[in-house]
Amino acid sequence: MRLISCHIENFGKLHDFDLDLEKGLNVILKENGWGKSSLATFLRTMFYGFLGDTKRNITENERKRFKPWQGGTYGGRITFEKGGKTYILTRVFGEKEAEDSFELRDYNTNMISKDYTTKIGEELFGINNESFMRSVFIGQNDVVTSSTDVISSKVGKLVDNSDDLSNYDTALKLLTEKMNALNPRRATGSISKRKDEITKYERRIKEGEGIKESIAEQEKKLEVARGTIKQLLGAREENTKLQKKLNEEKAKETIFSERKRLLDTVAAKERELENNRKNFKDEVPGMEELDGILPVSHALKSKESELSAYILTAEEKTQLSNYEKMFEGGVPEEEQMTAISEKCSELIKTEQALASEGLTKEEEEILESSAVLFPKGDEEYKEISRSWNERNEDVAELKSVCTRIKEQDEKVSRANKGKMMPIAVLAVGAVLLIAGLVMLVTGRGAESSPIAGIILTCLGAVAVIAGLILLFTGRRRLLAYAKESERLRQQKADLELKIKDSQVSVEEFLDRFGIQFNPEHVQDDLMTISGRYAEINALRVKKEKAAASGTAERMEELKAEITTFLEKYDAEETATDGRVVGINENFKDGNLFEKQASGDYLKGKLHDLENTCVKYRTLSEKEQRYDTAVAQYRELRQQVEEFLKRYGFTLEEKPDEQLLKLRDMADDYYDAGKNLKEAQKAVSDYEEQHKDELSEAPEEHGVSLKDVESDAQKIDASIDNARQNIIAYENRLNALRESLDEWEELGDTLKALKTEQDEEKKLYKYTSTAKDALVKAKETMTSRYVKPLLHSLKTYYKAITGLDPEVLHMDANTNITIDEAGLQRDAELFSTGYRDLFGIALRVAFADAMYTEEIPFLIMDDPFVNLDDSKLKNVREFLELLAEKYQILYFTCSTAR
Amino acid sequence: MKIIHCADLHLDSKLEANLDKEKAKLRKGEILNTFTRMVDYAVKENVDIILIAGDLFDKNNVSATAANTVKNAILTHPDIRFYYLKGNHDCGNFFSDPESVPANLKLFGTRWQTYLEAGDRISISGIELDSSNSGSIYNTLVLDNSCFNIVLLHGQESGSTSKSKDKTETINIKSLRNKAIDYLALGHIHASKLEKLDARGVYCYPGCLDGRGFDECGEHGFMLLDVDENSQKCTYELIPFASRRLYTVDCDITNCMTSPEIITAVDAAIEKTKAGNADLIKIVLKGSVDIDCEKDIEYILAAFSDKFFFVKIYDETIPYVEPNDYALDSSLKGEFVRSVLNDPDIDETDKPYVIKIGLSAIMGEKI
Repeated sequence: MRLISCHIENFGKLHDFDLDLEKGLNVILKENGWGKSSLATFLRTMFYGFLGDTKRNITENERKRFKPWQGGTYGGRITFEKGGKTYILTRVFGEKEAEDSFELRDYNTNMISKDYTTKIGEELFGINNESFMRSVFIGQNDVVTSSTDVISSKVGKLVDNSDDLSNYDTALKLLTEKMNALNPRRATGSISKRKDEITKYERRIKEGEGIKESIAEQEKKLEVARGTIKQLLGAREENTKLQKKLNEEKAKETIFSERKRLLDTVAAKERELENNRKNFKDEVPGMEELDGILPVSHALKSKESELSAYILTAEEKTQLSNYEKMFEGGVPEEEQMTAISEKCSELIKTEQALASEGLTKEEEEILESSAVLFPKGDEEYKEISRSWNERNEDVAELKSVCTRIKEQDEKVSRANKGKMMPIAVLAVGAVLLIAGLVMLVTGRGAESSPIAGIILTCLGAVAVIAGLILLFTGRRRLLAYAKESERLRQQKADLELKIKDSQVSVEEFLDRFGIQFNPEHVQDDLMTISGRYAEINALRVKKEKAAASGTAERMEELKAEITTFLEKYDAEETATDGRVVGINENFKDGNLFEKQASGDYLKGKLHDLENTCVKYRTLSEKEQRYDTAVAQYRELRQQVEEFLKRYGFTLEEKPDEQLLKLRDMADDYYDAGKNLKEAQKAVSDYEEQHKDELSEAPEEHGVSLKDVESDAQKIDASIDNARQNIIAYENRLNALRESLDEWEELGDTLKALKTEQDEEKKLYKYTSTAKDALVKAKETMTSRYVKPLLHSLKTYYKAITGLDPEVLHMDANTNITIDEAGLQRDAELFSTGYRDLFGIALRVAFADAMYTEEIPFLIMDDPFVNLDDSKLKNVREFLELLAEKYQILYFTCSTAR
Repeated sequence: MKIIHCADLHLDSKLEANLDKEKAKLRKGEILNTFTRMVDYAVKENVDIILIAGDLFDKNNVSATAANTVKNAILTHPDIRFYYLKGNHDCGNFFSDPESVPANLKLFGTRWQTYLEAGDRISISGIELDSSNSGSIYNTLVLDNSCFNIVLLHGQESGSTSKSKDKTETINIKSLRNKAIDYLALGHIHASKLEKLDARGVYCYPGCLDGRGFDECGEHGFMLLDVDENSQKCTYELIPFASRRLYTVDCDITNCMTSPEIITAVDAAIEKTKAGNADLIKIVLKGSVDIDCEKDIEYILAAFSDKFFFVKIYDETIPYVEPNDYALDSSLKGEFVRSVLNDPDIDETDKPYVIKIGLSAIMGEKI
């Protein structure tokens, strides 16, 4: 098989690219990043289609990875020769495989060829896509900067051809681990562990088979317990009925017993009545009679107390005798006493009025002294006051006159001092006048002007005139001053005389009131005297007013009336000691007026009279009551005595107590009779009420109510017990039912476990089978490839290196080892260059081994980058050797290689 | 007279086989509410009688909430008579004290018990089957030919293919023919079924009231009977009443090579059902799938989890290996595949699985 040419429409970064290919070695010298990888993939994809269509990752999904960068038709064509025929293979790729188009034409006829289908790669080379990739196709590493290491690594890996064979150990380990994890014969295996669990569940299920029986047993017990409780409730009902019957009999016995008790009571009452009758000799007095006489006996007893209360003592008798004498003319009436009392009150008011209207003693004395102090009334005072006021005006006038005198004196003095100034003016005027005149006359200074002489003359004349005027007026003023001064001095002397006279009269007036003259205080003193006069005048007016009212006369009248009334009851009384005393000391002494008795005093006396009247009346009433009480007492005693005698009793010392005792006895007697009747009625009523019950005597049942009640308690206890049992059975039943639910769930769990177990057993079986098959496959594969591989490897190794190839060995995993220093050394221990050589030789050996029918082309992407120059010659020879068998597409970026 | 016939409510069921605890709790409450909703429906539609043909509860030990809810529904609807025949899942602790059973709750025992309704024109008979009476019930059943006769039983129809973990008693339908039964109200089978019994009557499994597991897919509810007491004619209607529905969706992904392709295929398969957002879906992937197929079950599950109340995926696909793909593969993989395919000692059905495991190991992937 040979590639002739190819055309790429668009694929990865390649666009409209054409390449013609020769037989044997085709060197494609391009820089890194040119698109060698895209070209290589294109060639493979044209025969096999894309890899990784189902992968999501773009690096694994070739369809996505090589989608044209620039867009356009995705695909191209290849012209190739096979078996003497030339074909044109065209493919256009879509979004997915179903959209891909495939076309194969015969180059010579341009007719569609049916020689190959879409699986043309597999049909041509007898290997699948992946195997093709791993044998003849070297993907390009585009990393230029680290080209040496990466390319070396890539070459080694490809030549290794073990990306799945090298996984053998790992795969075997994974399968073994899985089998161990599942192993039914290992304790740690999940199948073994689950088997134990299943056994456990099976045992529990077997054990639980008894739950239903237990439930049935408990249900039976529950039924029995419910039956028991039903029986017990029946027995309890019977017991209740018997209790009711016994209670009825018991009630009947009680009725008979009660009738007997009532009859016994009647007998006792009869005895009691008889005993009470024995307290009376004859007839038993009626209770009404006794109740009628008892108040009489009580009255008799209270009369005795009354007598002792009303009896008069000796002193009271004497006093009563005195009072009778005192009031021989009759006891004063209340109206009289009231009238006199009102008069006393009026008298007191009159006395008070008189006291407020008239003058006191001090006021009388003051009024008397006014005749000496103010013989002319207030006329004198007024005169003195006026005189003093004039004197004060004169003093002020005198002060003014003195001031004016002083001023006049100062004016005279100043006038005398001003006498020289007019003379001086006159003198200066005269000099100027003379000088002016001289100048005029003499003409001195004429050469300048005559005006100076004239001015001086005028000035001199004026000054002379002024001096004369001043001198005349000064003299006149001095004379006037002297005259006025004389007049003022005369006025001063007159005023001083007048002031002295006034002061003498005031001094005398003040002396009368014992006041020492002091000009500074005279005005105040006169005001004080004026006040005293006003007070005296007020007293005088008051005195005159009191005299005019008539109050004193009325007071005397009242005193006379009251005294006259009181004197009517003046009397003597004999005291307890026999001494005779007046009832009123004032009356007796007759000094009522001598003592000028006041209203208050007379009112007190009247009050004494009232008290005496009261005492008199009290004693009189007491004496009268005593007499009445004596008569009543005698009558009452006679009534009681007669009553007792009637019923065979004699009057005792305390008739009230005697009668009360008698009443109690009679009361007991009548009560006993009444009680007897009541007891008899109670018997008849009771017999009537319980006529039915008393008709028949109570029966004997041979069992006591107490025993029956005890039985009831026992039955109740049994019912409680049965109920407790029912609760216990129900609880147990609930628990068992819950266990049954759990037990039934155990079956589900067991079923699930068994399903899982079956699944895992299957998995174990599959895993075990897979493991066996994998070992077998590996053995088959190894036996197929290792020998031819090693042969080819040695051939190519010798071709490249020229060294003895027998040092090379290969294990089942196609790992290469080399004899070195007596031992097989791993290829990894050798230099990078040697490693590359081993790898290239092995890779071509793989191709030799794998492609026995149709030999494909080889793609080599600069694999000799790590070789030194000495070996490059061998490489060329090696490539030429290969080119004899293979069409080679050799990519490199170096002309040296 | 309107009569509801329901069965297999399985109240208090744990529901944790598929659902997590939170959703199981929610679903448990919903199933209990379906029962109370059914009673409300009965009130609204003037239904006189509710027949419960067994398995009212799922567990032997009933929770207080479930017991109280049912008790309350019965006690607060004294006008509705509840005929409750215990099934193999029920036990006797619903009303702990037999004396406290309310008047409107009619129970049955292990002997035939007959109640009369509608002025003795409708009779309701029932017997709870156990090992002692299951053989004799056919001879001991005596019905009045002039009544409309309803018979309640809980058990498996003889010849039924459905299996049960319980030792459920079998009902021989043929033996109940010509017994004057008008309506044989059955319970135990969770799918609804209404068939002719004989010339006179029909027999009916209403199915469970609300589906719980993926063995109870589709519509569920109760049977509503409308009996004319005079003519003794009766109409039957299955009333869908489940709060949620369950669907098992089989999806053949033979030609799919990627997870998105599988999601598209599953979407199309679900689309053909009536499944809504509130429903529970079980997706079963089927077909032969190339061993190179990229199939991420968790990713596929995530694509549907938010669309439904609950989703789970069962992968029942069989890996498929194309022998020609490896015939010319000179690598270890090719050698391994050929080795397996050509080994006569390996079962043909096992070969794809063995190859898948072996290839995974060679690729260094987790097995």
